[in-house]
Amino acid sequence: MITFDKITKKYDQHLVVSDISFEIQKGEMVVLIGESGCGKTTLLKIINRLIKPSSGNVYINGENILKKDVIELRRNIGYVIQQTGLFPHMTVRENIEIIPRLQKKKDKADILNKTIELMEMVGLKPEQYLERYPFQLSGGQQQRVGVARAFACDPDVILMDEPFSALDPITRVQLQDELVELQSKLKKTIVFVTHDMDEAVKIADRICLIDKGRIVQYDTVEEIMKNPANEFVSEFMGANRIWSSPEYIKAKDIMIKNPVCVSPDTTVLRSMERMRFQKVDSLLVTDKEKHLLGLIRAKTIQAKAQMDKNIAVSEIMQSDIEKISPEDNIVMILDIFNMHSLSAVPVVDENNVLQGLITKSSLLTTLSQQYLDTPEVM
Amino acid sequence: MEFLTGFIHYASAHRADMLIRTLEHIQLTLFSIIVAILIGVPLGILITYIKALQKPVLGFANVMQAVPSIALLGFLVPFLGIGEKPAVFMVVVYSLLPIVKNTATGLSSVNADVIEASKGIGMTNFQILARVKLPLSLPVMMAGIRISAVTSVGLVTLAAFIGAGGFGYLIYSGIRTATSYQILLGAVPACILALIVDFLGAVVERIVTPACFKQTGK
Repeated sequence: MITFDKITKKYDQHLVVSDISFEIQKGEMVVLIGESGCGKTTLLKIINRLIKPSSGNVYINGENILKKDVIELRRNIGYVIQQTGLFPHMTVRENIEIIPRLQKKKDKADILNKTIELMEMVGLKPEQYLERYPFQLSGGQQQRVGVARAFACDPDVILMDEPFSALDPITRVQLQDELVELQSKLKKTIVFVTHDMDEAVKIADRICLIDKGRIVQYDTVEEIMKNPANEFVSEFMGANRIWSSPEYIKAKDIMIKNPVCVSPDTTVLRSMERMRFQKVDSLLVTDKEKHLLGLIRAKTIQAKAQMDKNIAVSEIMQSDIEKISPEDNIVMILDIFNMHSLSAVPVVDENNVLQGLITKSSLLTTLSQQYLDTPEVM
Repeated sequence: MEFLTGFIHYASAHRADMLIRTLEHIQLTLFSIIVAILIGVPLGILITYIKALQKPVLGFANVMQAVPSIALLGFLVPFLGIGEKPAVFMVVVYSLLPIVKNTATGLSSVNADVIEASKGIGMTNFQILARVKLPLSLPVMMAGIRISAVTSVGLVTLAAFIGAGGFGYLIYSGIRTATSYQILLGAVPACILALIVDFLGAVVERIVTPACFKQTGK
């Protein structure tokens, strides 16, 4: 866990970082993002003391880093910068092994084994690339080596300063994917600086949006997208950002919260009146605790015109129906609608308690919003 | 043709003397250049870390280079006497500038990102100097040493003036006695030695150049 406590950095009278306090949880990937000159890189470099704060303290797992031995501190923090961070006169192997060799804690064979493991981890064939020089590698490969080097001392914390921004778009996306995968396995605490919102949305657990040396919003990706703190945030996110990441649109955001329900012992006749009155073509059948029991459609009743209209709906309702959970995203929901060609699907929580209803028309309303000039997406 | 055969006869008759002069010359040059490296490289490193020293040190080296070499020898004799001591002193003083300047230039032109990365991953200042900055600036430093070494070969010929020996001895005694063969016996090997030193310098430069720089020429 990294804790920033009232960190301020001034150059002469110019405030670069002003009174920033926040916490980065262990095992999370936090992206510091903002326009160039907003102080995000300064904040990052304060963590490994490449920049000394003018005032305030930073704690890693409760220890004040300003009081630790700076060399020891840095060796326990991985550091990846843009591709030029590799030593051009050293081979891939020498680049990765530089700190372990300087530390002399392990013997050479152990270090080599670790290096091979790291190379495999970042997707470089050791036998092919171990003895190559950085200039013999492509930009993407160089950055893979950079990432491998950062992991060489098994640090808990890794700092990444725009590591992928110099790469071509295809390689960049590839490395982002791999980083996300790596992180899901290794659960390191990663602080990642970028100015690219697409990148941030893709990889971050939390985004820390910085403007003019202050934190504007620090929250999960989902929260920032749905509840931007102010206009700056929504502008920075881009007005229709959420549509490029539809997996953040959840059932709970778009469902009708109070669908029309009836109790199982209501008569068919009463429920038909209910439908006519509420102008709906189906009713959800729930018990007193709102547990979903089934669904009854106007069509079903019409099809059985001859039946006794005084029997309870529980006898004719359809009980094996598709359900979705509040956390399902819009892509999954659309899938369910298409697969079963349904017109309405109830949303229930894990205890089968009814939360809401999604209908084709509510889906249409949601989806059409990206083309309409409405400030509130949901 | 006649002149050439005459010269060859003269040279073979005086080959013992020439051997002594060659050894003297090589010895003086080598010794001076080693002293110049031992002083110049640390000085060059020093002025990249203490920026305040940069101007005075480079200024001094510049001024020394501007002093005519014969005049400098003249200044030295009253203090250091005659012989090898003032000769080495002079050659060292003249060799310093290219070595100091190139060392400083080489060190300060190492990519700032590379240095920041080495700091960031936890290398000490000394480790950064020894493992990153020096290896990366070796080609530039070596170019300076090569220039100094070649000039030294020429400068050492002046040392004969104050009795230090070398090829200069043959040249000056040849001039005094108006013996063209003797002048050439000093001048020709001095030229050849300078070329050999330059060639060796090039070889060393090539060896110390990290692979990454060789690539850029492609």
